[in-house]
Amino acid sequence: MRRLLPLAASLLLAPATLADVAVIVHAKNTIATPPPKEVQDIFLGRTRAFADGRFAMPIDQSSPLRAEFYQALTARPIEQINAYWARLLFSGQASPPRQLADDAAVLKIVRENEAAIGYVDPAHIDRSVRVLLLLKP
Amino acid sequence: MSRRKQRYLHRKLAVSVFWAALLFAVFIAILSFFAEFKRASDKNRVMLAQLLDTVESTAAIAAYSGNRAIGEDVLKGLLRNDIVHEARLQADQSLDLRLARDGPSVAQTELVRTLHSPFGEGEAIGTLTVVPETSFSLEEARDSALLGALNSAAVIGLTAMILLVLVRNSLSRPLTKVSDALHAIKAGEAERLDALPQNQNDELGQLVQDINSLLDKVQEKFKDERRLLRQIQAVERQLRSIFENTSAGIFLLDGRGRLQAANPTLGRVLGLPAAEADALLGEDFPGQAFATAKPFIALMRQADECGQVVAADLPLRNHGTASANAWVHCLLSRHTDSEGALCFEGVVYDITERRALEMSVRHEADHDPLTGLRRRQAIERDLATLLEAAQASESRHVVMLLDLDNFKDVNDSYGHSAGDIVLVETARRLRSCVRASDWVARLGGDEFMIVLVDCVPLGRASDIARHIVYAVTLPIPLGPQQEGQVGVSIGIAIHDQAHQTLGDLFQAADLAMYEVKRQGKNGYGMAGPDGVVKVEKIGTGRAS
Repeated sequence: MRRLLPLAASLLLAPATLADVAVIVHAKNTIATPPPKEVQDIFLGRTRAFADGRFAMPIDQSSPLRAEFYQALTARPIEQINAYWARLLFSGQASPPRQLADDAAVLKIVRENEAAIGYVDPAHIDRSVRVLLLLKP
Repeated sequence: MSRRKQRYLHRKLAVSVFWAALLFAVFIAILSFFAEFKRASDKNRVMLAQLLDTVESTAAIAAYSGNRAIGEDVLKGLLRNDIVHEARLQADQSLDLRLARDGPSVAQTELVRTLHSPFGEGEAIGTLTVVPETSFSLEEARDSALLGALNSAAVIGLTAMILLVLVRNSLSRPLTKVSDALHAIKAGEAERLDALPQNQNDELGQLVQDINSLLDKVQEKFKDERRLLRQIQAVERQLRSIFENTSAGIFLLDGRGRLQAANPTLGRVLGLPAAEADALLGEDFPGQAFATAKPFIALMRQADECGQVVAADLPLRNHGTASANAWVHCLLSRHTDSEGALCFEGVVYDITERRALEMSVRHEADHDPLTGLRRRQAIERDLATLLEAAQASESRHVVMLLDLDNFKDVNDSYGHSAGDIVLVETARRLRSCVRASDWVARLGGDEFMIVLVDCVPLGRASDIARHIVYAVTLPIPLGPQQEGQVGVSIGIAIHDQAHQTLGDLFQAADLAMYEVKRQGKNGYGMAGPDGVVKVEKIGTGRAS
């Protein structure tokens, strides 16, 4: 056991390139855990509401976690997501979710807004938000 | 065959080729229309599928996001293609767009493409549908068919024209030349077709060679035939000359003896006047030609029965021109004519002179030159014939044998010439004592014989015998102041049951005569049925 501890420590400290991504909502949001497809529809602008009909406001990030999130959610590279939004933007009838700088900004918005839904590194989660879904890479 | 007909034949070929080409072009046009229509439709479908491939991802985005603007852009883009009649975009979330071209909509197989979500597991999120433009395919097919028809018509027409020119130059012209040349040649002439230098080794060259060899053969045959004809004519002339100039009369009779045909000589042989030579045609030949019809009819029957040539000498009927008692020798044979009817073919020739000669020779042979009476062999022959005939009929004949008495004395006293005078005178007297139909013969020396033909009644024989004795015993003047006298002994035999044959009669007559001699001459004796000779002596003026 003693010989194994340093190995476990080195794994935990390694850069989180393939880490989980946690989808978070306001602490008072009580909807049931949705399938990843519903989360995908909200973030890609297909729907603007949760399954229970309440308004949903997706919050995006401009950090490196963004690529990991969309990869985990849609199994597509981030370039394709960008191209998708570019095409919708061109039609002038749709706009992508609002982008924030990092996890801290996202956590702040989600704490304040009941309709908000965002994603963060699980390491930064506290009790002020509710983890709706944990996306595995 | 005239030249006009030949040209017509040529034109007919051109017209036939034209119609065949036209029919072919139409056929090909129809065929190519359907093929082209199918091909264009298939091509359209492929192109539509490719179009769908092109816009699929954009349409999927529009369907996924429910973006109307992008969807309409996609449909407009599709409609910009001529081959698309109508386009529809349907998504799950109440997105239902439809864009169609003006114009009639024909029921068509539409192309439906299922749209998948651009993200995640590729779930179906809507459909993109296009309807192909039929009239486009039709137009294309029609254009293509027309072009095909034009193409094929042009190619076929050009080929036909080239073919026509080739046929005309290498076949029709030489053929026309050969035909015209052949037309001008008369069968059996020495002219021949010119060889075709360009067609030396092909069928036309062979045709010319064959025609020339055929002409050679025809000419040869003509020559042969002419030679043969000349020979036949010569033979015919000879035969005709023989038929017309022969001394024999040739004739053809039908089954009933009517004259059917005759050569010119027949009239002459039959002794007809020149003008009447043909008058007998169709007439009863046996009755008209011969003295009596019966022998000839018998000859016809004989010819019919034995089937061979039969012949007879026949006396002709006297027509007043030829000498009386004209005779012909007639050969007759039976035939069957082409229709199977019985007919007779005959030849007659004049034997009048020959017969006269024969008769005179026979007369000389049969008669004693001194007395003119029949000789022994003649009367024996004739008597044999007479007796044979008598067996059938009931005729009774009487034979007398006569022997002169004292003839030797006259001969010795007055010489042979006196004896001859006695014999001649006796013969004359004997003949005068009997009928013309009775026979008197000198058997030799001073022996005579008399046959009373058909003597009725028999008693007359005695009267005649008595009369003969009286007549013969009369004195015979031998010269100035000289007379001779002879007697006669007669033996009589009657042809009856007892005396059937010539030998019997002779023997009986001889016996009777010797019986008279034995009893003293100058009388007659007759053998009765019982064989006893009854003798009657007759006293005369100067009994010896």
